[in-house]
Amino acid sequence: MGSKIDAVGLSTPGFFRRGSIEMEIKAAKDCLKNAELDPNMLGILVNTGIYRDHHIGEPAIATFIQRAIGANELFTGDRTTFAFDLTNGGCGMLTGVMVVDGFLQSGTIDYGMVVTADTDPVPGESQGYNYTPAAAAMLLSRSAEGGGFIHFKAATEARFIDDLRGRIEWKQHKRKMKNILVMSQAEGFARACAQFTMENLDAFLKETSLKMKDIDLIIPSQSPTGFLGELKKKKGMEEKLVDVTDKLENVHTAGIGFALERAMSSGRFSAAKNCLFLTVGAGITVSLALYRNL
Amino acid sequence: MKTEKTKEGSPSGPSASSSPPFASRFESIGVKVPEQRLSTKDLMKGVKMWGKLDLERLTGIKERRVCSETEDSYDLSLNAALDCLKHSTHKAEDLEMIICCSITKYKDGTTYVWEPPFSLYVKEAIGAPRALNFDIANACAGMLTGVFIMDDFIRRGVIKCGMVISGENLTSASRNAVPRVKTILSGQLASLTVGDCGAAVILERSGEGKARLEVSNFVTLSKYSDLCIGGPCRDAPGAQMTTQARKIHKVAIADTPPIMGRALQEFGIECGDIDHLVPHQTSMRAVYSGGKRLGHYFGKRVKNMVVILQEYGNTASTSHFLALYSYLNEKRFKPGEKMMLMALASGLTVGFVIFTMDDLVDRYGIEN
Repeated sequence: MGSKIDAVGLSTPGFFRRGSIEMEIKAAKDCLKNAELDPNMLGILVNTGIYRDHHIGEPAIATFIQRAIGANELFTGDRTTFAFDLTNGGCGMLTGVMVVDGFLQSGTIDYGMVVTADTDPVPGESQGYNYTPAAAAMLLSRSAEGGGFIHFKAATEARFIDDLRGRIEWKQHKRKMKNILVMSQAEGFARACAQFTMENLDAFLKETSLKMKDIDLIIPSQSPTGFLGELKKKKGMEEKLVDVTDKLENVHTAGIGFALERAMSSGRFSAAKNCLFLTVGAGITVSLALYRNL
Repeated sequence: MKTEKTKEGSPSGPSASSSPPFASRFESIGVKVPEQRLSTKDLMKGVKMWGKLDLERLTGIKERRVCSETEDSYDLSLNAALDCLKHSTHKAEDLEMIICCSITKYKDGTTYVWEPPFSLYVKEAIGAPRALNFDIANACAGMLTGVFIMDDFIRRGVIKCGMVISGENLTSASRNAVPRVKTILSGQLASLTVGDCGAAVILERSGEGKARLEVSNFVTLSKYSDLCIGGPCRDAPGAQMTTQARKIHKVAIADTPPIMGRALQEFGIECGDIDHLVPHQTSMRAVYSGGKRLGHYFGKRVKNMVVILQEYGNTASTSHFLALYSYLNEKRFKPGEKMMLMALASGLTVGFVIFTMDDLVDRYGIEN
C-alpha cells in the first residue's frame, strides 16, 4: 500500500501575486479545489521551497499557507493541522512527499499536502539567481487499492558538495553592505548530476526488481541548468522524460509539480503503470520514487 | 539510504496507529555550548532606552553563551553531533537518517546556507554515509519536529537509528537588537534573551525494558503565525527577529492546556503524574506562569519544571535537549521518572513528547 496523489495545484506570478508565499497559497488553494477537499482535513502541511520572500527563517513558511487556506487555524479539540518547512535542495518536494507518505502509512493523518515555491527573495539584490518563480502543491492520501508511491530511495555524492550553492552573504551591494543571496553553479555540475542519477537509477531498479523498459514515464527535476539536456543524452531516457522547459525554464523545487501536471493533463500519467519520480539537487543529492498506477 | 516499506513497517491502514509495531527512544544526547559568556548586565549596557528595564529580573536570565568569531551554527551542530556519538553505543556509520533543524544555518561566520542542505555538511563531517539527510525548520520547535518525523520512520520499521541535530547561532539577533531597543514595548526585546547552543539526539528502536517515546499532538495554531518573524538583518550581518512577546505569551497560556490535556488523555496519564516537564525556555516568568496555569487547568501541577534559563537564556530549537543534558549531567533524573517535553514555538506550534526515563541516566554525570 502506498500514498496516492489526489490533486496537484500550480501557480506562477500574477499581477497581484508576486512573492513565494502568495504563489504557494494560490497553488495550495487550487490543489484543494481540484480535489474538492475541505482544508480542515489536512493533517500535515509541508513547505519545501527554499528561496522565499525576504529570506524569512521563522516561523515556518508552511504556517502562513495553513492560515491563508484556512486549515484548522485554531485548536477546537477536533481535527488539527501541523505545519513545518523541509528543505533538501532540488529534491525537497519529493523528500516532503516521502515524509508525508510515512505519516499516511502509520495512520497519523488522512491527508497531507506538500507545497513548494521559489522566487528571488529580494529582486534587484540577489546575485546569480536564475530560477523561474513558480509554485506547486501536491495533495496525498492513503491508497486503498494498493498503488501510489511504493518505493523511495535517496543518495548523496559529496565530492560535488559546493558545486551548487545558494548562500546569504554579508557583502557590498551598490554603496551599502547588505545580506545578499549569492548563487553559483560550477561548470560540469549538470553532467555530474546526470551521471550520479543514472548510477542510482540502476540501483533503484534492482531494488524494485524492475528493468528500464518497465518504467513508462519519468517525472524529473527541471533544474539545475543543463540537467535535463544531459539526462536526455542517456540511453532510453528522452522519450520517457516529461520536460516543461519549453514553457518554463529552470523551475527549481516546484519542477516535478509542473512536470506531473503536464503528464496528468495529457493523459500520460494515468496511462503509465510505473511512473518514476526523479529529483536531483545540490549536494549532489538524488531522490527517486516509484509511483504505481493500478 | 533505502526507505523501502518493509512488510512490518507498512501498516495496512489507520488502525495501525493505535498499535505501532515498533517504538523509539532517546539513546544519547550531545551538546556543544560556546565557551564565551555574556551576562545580561553587560548586554544591557549597550541598550539606550526610555525608562528602566531590569531584563535579568524580568526574564531570570543571568547570562548566555555566545559564539566567538570562529564559531557558527555548523561548528555547534558538528560538535554536538560528535558529543552525542561519544555518549552513544552507536557509531556514525550506524545512522540511517540525519535531520538538521536549526533556524540559523550559519557556516563560515555569518554566511547563511540554503543549499546544499546543512545536514549534508554534518553527515559528511561525522562520516555517516548510509544516512538519508534533509533539513527542517519549525522555529523553536525544530528539534522536536525532527523527533516527531524520525519517530514515525522508526515506528514503521523503515529505519532503526538516526540523529536529530541543531546548531543555533542566534546571538547576532541579540547584537542587532541592542541599538534598536528603545522602549520596553520594542518588538526586538525578546531578541535580547537568546543564547547560542548546539544539540543532538540519537533516536533508536526501543527494546525490551527501555523507554518508549510517545510523540503526539503536534499542532500549529496558524492564526498566530505572524507574532514572531525572523530573517536576515537589513543593515548588519546575521539575524533580526521581531516578536509580539506579550501576545504570544497570552495565546500560549490560553491554548496550550487543552492540547496538553488531549496528549495526556491519549496516553492515559494525568498532569500530576509528570515528574519533570521540560518547557521551551523563554523566560522564568513565562515558564512559571505557564506551569501555574497548567496546575489550575488540570487541578494538579507537574512535580518539577526543568529550567536552565539562568545560565543559557533561550537557545531556540536546542533548548529542550540542552535542559535534558544539563539535568542528566547533574544526576537530577532517576530511571522510571515520567518526562514530558513541551514544544512551544512561533507558528504557533505546540507539541508533546512523553517518555519514561531509563538507563540513559547512566551515561551522564560526573563519572562520565
